[in-house]
Amino acid sequence: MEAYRVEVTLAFVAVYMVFCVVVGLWAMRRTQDASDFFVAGRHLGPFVVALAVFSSTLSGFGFVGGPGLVYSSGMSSLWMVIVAGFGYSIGFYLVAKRIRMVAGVRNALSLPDVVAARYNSEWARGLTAVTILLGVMGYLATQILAMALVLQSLLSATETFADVSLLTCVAWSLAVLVFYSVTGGIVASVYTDVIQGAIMAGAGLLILVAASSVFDGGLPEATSIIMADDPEAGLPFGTLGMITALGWGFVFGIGLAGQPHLVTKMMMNRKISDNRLIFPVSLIGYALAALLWFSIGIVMRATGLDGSMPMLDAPDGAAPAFLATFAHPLLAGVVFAALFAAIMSTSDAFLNIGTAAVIHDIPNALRGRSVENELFWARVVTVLITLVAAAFALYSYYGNERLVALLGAFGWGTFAAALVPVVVFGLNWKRATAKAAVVAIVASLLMNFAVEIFSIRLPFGISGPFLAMTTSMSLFLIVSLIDRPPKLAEDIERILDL
Amino acid sequence: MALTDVRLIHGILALLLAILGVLIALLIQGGPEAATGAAHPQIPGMNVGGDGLARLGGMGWLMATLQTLVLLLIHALLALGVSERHRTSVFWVLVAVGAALSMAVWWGMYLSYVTYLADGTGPLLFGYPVSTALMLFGVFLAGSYFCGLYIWGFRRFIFPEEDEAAYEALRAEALTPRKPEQEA
Repeated sequence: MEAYRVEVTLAFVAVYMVFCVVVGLWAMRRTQDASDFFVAGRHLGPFVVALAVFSSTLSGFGFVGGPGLVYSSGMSSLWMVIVAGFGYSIGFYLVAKRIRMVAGVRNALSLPDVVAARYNSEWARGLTAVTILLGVMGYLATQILAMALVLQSLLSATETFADVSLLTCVAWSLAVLVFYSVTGGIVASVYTDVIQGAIMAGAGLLILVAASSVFDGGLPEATSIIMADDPEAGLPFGTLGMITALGWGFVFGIGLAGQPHLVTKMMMNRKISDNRLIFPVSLIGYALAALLWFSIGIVMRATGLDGSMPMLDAPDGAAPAFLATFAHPLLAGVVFAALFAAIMSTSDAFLNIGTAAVIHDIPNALRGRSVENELFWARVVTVLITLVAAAFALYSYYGNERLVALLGAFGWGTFAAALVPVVVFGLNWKRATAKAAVVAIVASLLMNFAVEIFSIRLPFGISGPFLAMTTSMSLFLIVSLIDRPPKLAEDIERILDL
Repeated sequence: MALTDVRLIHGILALLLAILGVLIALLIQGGPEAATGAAHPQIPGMNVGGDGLARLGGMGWLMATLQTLVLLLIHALLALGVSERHRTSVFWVLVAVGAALSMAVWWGMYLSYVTYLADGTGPLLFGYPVSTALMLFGVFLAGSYFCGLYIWGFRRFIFPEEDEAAYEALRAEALTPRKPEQEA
């Protein structure tokens, strides 16, 4: 089987892609209107929502970038992962119940719909939608590029496709993604998420077993090898230091509640009481999938240091090199399928909220109503957003790296800084005002953009999003306390009492 | 004295301003040259942390205080997520237990970390240095405590049956088409 490693891996990836296409065709029959397309008619069961929530959390970055970060800087990046218990708690205690209530009472299709209902403000809706759209373009471009590069690396190892171009790989990857996202909307997205989530959790567990067997003493021995070279790399804050690690913990923990692709999933369950099951299942699934992040990174750094593995060209090569060296071909196949699953599950979630922003939220903010025939335009705009994001990705790769880096700054940290105060305080405090929401969003965007555009490096590795998020949350509360108390709609007032 | 939303929000704002204050103090102080590590001398693509005590720049206590404030903020936010009516004494005791657990993990991690840096060695837990083991297992478990609390307390303070009935009534009203005279 070792001789057919690449073929086995490609077979797993191909089977997974075919599955996505089949789900797209099946979901098309269940997608009758815009409510089905964007929020699956709000009738999903608890396991489907739980797997959709956690598989959207862990993008391709978790499978490639995460192990690469551990390889390059030891334990620092694990703070993005270990805070999941607190992060999911913030999401479920502060958002899950009331966002579902507002969605049910106001027939909300998107996060900006909920924001508009809560604050009775088209400004708040419009700014939320614009933030989402900017973030979606950056996130999608990086996901598309990652997917195409991985596919190219796999195909170029075969004789038939040895010279396959990046453009061809972009086209093939996107053909599948666009097909099931356009035909089945969020229904296809969440049902592919179920399989994607299961593959990711299973792969995480299996990789932990494989990684533990590389050294006789398991992962503790790998850690001791790392610490013999540089103690800080194996201590809890890694080589990047305490403030960088704690900043990541803050932004990835509390910031989870501001991720539009996640909190939108919290609007889709059939019953609010299902949250009692959704929370633990999504947390356990995430923890299992994230084992891969830690175990591959630690083993690859240790084998690099003790000379049992050649040096890597780049830290992001840690996961592919581990799979090629230490994983059984079948396991490598599963993990590569999981990698595509991770990328696609995040991409389809972003496609969905980006499309909602373009055809539903921004028109509503500007002229008080959505476009006619939302379902048709949702499908058209899904294709257009994918094409624009792909163009960004290719332009960035061949021409200007700063473009996607700039939009990439509108990733997790910027969503967190802009939307956490708006969502978390807005859904839990009656005194929160629309003016505060506008100030918090604008201030956080300006701060994050400024840090990125001017390449500002802060002492001790303090991250821009950490500073921006603390500032926007503080500003939100101060402006709300200074502003006149808002007059809430009766239904919103009653929801906030529950 | 009941902790109302207003008092809780004031507490959250105070914590946020304190966190900002610590961050500004760190910004003003300025970090040492290698605060965020340096390139590995032999292996490209790898970084090293180097002298851990030196790169704390004498500000370790301030960083530990920062994380203490962040943990208090997280617990205050979680309390805000529970309706004011359901924040009973039992609820607060359970939140306090969670906070005590988080603090124990954090301070255990921090103190064993600086001790390891000073001594160059230290005891192991599950095969890892104590501070690393507390980071790998303790932080996740401390956060997951609130998942257990959510499951146990779902019908007690997250979404009691009377709240569910009130929501269903509200939803039924929202779904009922309004008569013209009601709209007028």
